[in-house]
Amino acid sequence: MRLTLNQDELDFRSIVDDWVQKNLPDDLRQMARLGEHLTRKEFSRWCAILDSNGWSVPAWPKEYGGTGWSPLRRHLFEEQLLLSGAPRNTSAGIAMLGPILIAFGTQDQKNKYLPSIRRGETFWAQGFSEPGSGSDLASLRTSAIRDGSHFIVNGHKIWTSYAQSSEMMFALVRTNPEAKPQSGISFLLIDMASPGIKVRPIRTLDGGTDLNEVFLDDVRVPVDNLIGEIDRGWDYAKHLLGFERTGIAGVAVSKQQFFRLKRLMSERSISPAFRHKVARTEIDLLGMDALILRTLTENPASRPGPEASMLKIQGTRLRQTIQHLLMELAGPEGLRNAEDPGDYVERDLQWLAANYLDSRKVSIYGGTNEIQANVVAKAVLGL
Amino acid sequence: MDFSLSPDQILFRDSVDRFFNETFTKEDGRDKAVDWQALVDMGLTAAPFPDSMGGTGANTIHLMFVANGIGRTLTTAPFLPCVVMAGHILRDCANVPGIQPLIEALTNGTRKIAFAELSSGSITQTGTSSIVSGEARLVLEGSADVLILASANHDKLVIIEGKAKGVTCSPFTTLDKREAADLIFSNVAVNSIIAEGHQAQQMIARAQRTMKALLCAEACGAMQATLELTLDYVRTRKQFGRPIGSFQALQHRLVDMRIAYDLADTQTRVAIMAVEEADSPTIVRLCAAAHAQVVKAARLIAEEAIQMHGGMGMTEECRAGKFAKRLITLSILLGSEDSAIENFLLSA
Repeated sequence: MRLTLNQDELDFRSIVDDWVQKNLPDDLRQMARLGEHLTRKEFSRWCAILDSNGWSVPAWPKEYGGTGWSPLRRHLFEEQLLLSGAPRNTSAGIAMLGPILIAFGTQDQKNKYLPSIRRGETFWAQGFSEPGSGSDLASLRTSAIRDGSHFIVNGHKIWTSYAQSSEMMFALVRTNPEAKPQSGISFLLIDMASPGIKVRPIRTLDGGTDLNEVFLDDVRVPVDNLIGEIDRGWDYAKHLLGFERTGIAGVAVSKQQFFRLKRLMSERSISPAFRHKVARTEIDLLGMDALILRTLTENPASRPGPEASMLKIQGTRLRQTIQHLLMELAGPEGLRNAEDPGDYVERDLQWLAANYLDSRKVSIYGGTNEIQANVVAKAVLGL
Repeated sequence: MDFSLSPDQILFRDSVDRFFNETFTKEDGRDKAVDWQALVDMGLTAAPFPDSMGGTGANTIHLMFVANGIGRTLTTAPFLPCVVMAGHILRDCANVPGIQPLIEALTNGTRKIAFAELSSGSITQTGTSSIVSGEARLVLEGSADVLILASANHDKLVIIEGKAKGVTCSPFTTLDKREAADLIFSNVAVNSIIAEGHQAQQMIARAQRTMKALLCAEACGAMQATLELTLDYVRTRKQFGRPIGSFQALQHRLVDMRIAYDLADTQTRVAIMAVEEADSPTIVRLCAAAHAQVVKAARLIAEEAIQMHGGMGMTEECRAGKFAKRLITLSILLGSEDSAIENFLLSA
């Protein structure tokens, strides 16, 4: 057991920081600092800049342009990017499709899709949830019926981030309605320019339009776009659950937002009661950070397990608490509509209420915290 | 931060775990003298002292495993008050004449030594000797053979024989059946001051920080056991024809208990690492963080354990209640969550 990082890791952090200071464009830095909505255009630009240094897909294996870093180093990297002022480089293509293609895709599929994801050129949407299938995802009904060299896809996907600006969507579709729910699902790659696809944006509480509904009406998808075997799609999607053990807790964002809170506090007079609450939250933040580092260092050889669900529950609670503190700090200034804030808005406070509202999603997406608690009860506590 | 254990630490932990599991299994009516002798025989009373003082040179990480074991098995033998608190002060003034024999006596189990601080009164120097008058309340293991007594502002440390003329010892047991005592000193003559001024204050502060981190570790051991026995209970207790652990209302609360425990245990380990390697402000800060999490988690786990045991949880014989009492005692000894947050703020 050792409290301080070793010199190697400290050096690594400062290498990342130096690089970000030299390469992060000012407008992206400003947007990240204020918590503004980033669109696909900004994400792609930042991804391409990271790629120029070989850093856009750190978690992928080296042969596909990844870094070969240990999970600990990857964690330090992701965290340092944010703390150095950069926006997140997360996209469904990098975080979800990449690992699935690498594990289950054909060589042709890998060659065709991975490089453009890595360079930030193609954007992917994730087509999992449906109006009737949220937590109970395996009940999904979007169907794919084989017709010669194509599948004909019909159905309705929802909560699809960036569908309006994505070239492609990876989707779970039902190929066998007779089988048990989990065993009749396939994993399909769908070109968003295909005839029969209609995208309807959904405005969220914070005014954002990242989310969409996707309607699929007799969409023809080549059978070459099937990942792995037919009817095995559920297994491939589940592969992701064991892939990332700590990122889902969002501790880097929590730290970044906490520093934002401290910066704003330093410019204002703060009541002792608020200071006390912030200190309580800082203790939880130190705890979350330590839990993540414990997961990464205690048994480095162990495989990620259901413990990740506990990190998600606690990590998202913390994130939401910090976001609430920020809005509380803004006081009545937070009542301005972020998109129409008037001429005299304090830029630093403009997005705080919107960011708070946006943060309510983190305990819902990626498996609600209630579903995570079910997983922990069963797989960790043995109930 | 690196939480991995060295092979030596794993070996030590496993042997300590085995020792506690095999030795401290009987639930009630344990003979305290036998328990203490078991710690002596295992070499644990020699733990914090270096080779040169006849000890085994354990560091704070080793002591953490011992404290975990004490909490897990509800041991009442006074390892923390005598070996950790008094022991660390003795170790730090081992060069003072007369201290080395006390270390030997503590190590080989012939004498118990406890630490006390005056809540009122003073230690007054008169020529070569000093006079102690005042009170020390709620002293853990206060009826020990020897007392290391600190003045109220910690600027003087003296050694007093428990049986010395003018010492009135009024013993009692705590909520969790530990020995404690209130002490009254009336014109007790002591020969020598073992430390004074800034040096004494530093020494006491250092020992108290270590004590705080290890009280947290003891609570973590007790929380781990409480969680385990509550899980065992909800898996086997049936109502409405099924184990009550199958009900989601309980499952989600048990998950919260586990998360609270994980945070408390992890931050206690951070505090322990800090005691081993950091500067004082960092130790104070990280101990305060651990303290806040431990007190919060201890209350949650103690109260939920009683609730989930239902009526049984309210009975004297139920083990959940015994753990709850240990957890509440430790929380009160540590101080409130609010006081921990204040300390955390002050250390920034």
